[in-house]
Amino acid sequence: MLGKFIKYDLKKTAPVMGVLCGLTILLGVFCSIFMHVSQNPGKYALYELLGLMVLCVVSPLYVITQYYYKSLYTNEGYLTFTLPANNKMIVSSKIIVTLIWATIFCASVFISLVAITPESVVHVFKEGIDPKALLMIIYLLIVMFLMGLSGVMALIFSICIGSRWRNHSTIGSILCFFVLGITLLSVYLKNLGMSVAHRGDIFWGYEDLFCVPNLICSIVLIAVFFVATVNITSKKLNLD
Amino acid sequence: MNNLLEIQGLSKTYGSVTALNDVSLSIEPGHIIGLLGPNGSGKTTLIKIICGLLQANSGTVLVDGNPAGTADSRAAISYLPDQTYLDGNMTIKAIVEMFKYFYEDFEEDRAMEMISSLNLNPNAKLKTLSKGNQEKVQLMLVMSRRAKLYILDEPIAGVDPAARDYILRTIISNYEPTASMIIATHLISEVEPVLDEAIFLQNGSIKLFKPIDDIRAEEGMSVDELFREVYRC
Repeated sequence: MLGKFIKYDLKKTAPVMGVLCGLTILLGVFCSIFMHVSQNPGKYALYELLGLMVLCVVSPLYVITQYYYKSLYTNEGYLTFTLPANNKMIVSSKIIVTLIWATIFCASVFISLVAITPESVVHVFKEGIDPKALLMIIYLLIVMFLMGLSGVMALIFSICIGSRWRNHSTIGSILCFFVLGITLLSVYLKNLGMSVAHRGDIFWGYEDLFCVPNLICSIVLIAVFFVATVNITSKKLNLD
Repeated sequence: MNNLLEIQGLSKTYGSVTALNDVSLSIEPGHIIGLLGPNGSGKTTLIKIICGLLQANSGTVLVDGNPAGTADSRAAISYLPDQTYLDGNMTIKAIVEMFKYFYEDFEEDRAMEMISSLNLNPNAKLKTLSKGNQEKVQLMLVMSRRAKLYILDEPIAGVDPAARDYILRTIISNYEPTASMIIATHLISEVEPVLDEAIFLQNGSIKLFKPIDDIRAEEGMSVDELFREVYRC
């Protein structure tokens, strides 16, 4: 039944999320073309990055929040929570679908970024790359992705907590996300500082931000937010 | 005969307000029951707890032998809430397909037949329909299931008298005799002809639970008249 729910939700959200992913890739392709025909390619790279940042953060967050919140906590929840499944399965399916789209979106962002300078990718394939450096790049991408997912899960958990305030769910969700955001940032920065100190340096590098403790923290946070959201929504469901 | 719905000592409070107070009742298959009471008497709260949408403070609810809120109890219930609960951006056809996808007991042909009888375009989005037609579409979906327990919360409130007749006809003509149905309403006179039994709720407690014929014989008045007398302000 969980698979049935996931399949249905993916199909339902595909038109909007598919367009967003497609636009993200297209943006990279267009910027790449402009950079190659322009005399001053630097500014297009900047536009590309700004555009991607807006698309990466605002659009999917809006779509995910709307989809998740509407289907569980508004009138649509009356249908969602009367479908033939228990609450845990219903909430889990919604979260899994959100995480699947977050993953697909991250992949489209990566493709878009690669599209800006395709010659660098061609160069890597032609000249080869040090296997250790390649592994490091893959590792950094994975940690970056997991840290992003922990932020998405923090948002989902905030919506769950916010819905406990019957008449102030929006304010409750925003406040919760604000507090969680600051806490997550503090944890990640503390790990970064410890990594810098461990290396005996005074300047931080990407390897410090994406250090092993941050990798572990993001995995633990994703799991904790997932379990907490599913349990709180299942056991304390009160649709007014 | 096994009870389709078994409620024992059910209580629910919202802060200091008591919505349900030690409610106990049991319903056998094959009955149409009117859940009657004024606004704020606890009708919707009781229904939501049966459907697993609200958590009770105490008490137990069994639907076809399964605790409320479980997959099996939900599969046994076909629920019509007192508000629009469908995504307005979906077309009628897409909604029918969704019901067919999730409910094994959903009869698509029956739903499409009812939709065409109303001259509704299956490709029309729900939000483009009038309020009355939206309610009719929801009712058609609910009545197109072969459920064991139908729960209709205010199915005729907010629609014109002609639409009320249509809705009541739809309910009766699609009702499975082996199933039971709970109709919550305060429009007693409209639904009285189709009811077998009536439950009067007052301040979260059951004031009366009797067959309609017994009420008429013992009280010498219709259920509507009795309701007006019981709940006189």
